[in-house]
Amino acid sequence: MTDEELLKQYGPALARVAASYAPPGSLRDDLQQEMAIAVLGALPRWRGESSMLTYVYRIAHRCGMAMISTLDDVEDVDVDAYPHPASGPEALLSQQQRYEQLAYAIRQLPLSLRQPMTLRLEGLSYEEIGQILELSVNVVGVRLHRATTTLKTLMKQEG
Amino acid sequence: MNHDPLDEWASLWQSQRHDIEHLREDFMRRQRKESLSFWGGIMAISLMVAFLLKTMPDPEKMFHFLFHCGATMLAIAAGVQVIWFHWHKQTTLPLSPKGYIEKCRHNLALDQRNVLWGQRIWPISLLFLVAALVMIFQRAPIERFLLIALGLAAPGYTFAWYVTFVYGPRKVNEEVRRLHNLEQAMTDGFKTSEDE
Repeated sequence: MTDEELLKQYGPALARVAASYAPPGSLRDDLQQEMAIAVLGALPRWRGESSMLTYVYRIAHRCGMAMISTLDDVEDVDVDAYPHPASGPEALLSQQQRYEQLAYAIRQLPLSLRQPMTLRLEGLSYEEIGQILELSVNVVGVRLHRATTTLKTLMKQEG
Repeated sequence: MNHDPLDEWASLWQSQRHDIEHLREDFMRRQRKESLSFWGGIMAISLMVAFLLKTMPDPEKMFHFLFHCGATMLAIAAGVQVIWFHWHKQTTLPLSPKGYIEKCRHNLALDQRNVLWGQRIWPISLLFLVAALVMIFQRAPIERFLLIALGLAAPGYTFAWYVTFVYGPRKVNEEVRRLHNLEQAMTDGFKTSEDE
């Protein structure tokens, strides 16, 4: 797989993982850049022992963790800064706003719940999540259940 | 109808498709910079070794020769370290979040031990310095002694003191805080013992 193919295929996923760690703005841009560089740099080391998907997500989450560990406090985005349009091209913005609300709520979760939740939202199975986070399937299930309950509460508060 | 909010969130989550292909340029730029520094370093060491080989170690030039030997050895040691680091980086597989925290803990313990040993060794290294200066004072003219003492030993030891007692402990403290932040972010508000 070439660099271009890798970024084409996994770029949007990396951007979403970055959103689970950093609010929109320069912090998220920097994190996306770090993730892209780390993934491209690690590409020659991929031997096919794990799937490319788990390989990429592992690197992305490691970059996210490295970033948040250097921050004392993350100033998060004000979700009300996005307008509330109803239809037309503005509907897209509304979707963007809902996405940022969701990302904001996800960022409120502790990492132990945030990581499995993000991977689940990416469409990964319990087994794949377990491989990436080095957790058993049962633990993944427990954490996802907790994450879902907490996220529901957070989304209600947001919404 | 009872629908799962997780499906709705997943659909919303996956609807976002930001392209980050432009970031490949940053990667290429960083690669070029690293490669340039690497080959620049190799060239500098090669030049130093060539100059060293050309310098005749006759008694009159012995001081310059030894000084150049020391500088070349330092450059080679730094080069070997950089090559080892690159090799290590290229052969290490990406860590899981759990593995990453374990590695941070392990590295922190190593750093703490290094700082501690550096501080312990410091008085012994001072003894060596004093002994070397006394020997030079006895054998070399005063100008050369002053040049070595004030031009080399004093700045070198001041720098080493700064690294051992100020910079090193500060870096360790920063790493302790970083690890604390990370562990807190992992467990913030949640007991994880029951699911481990």
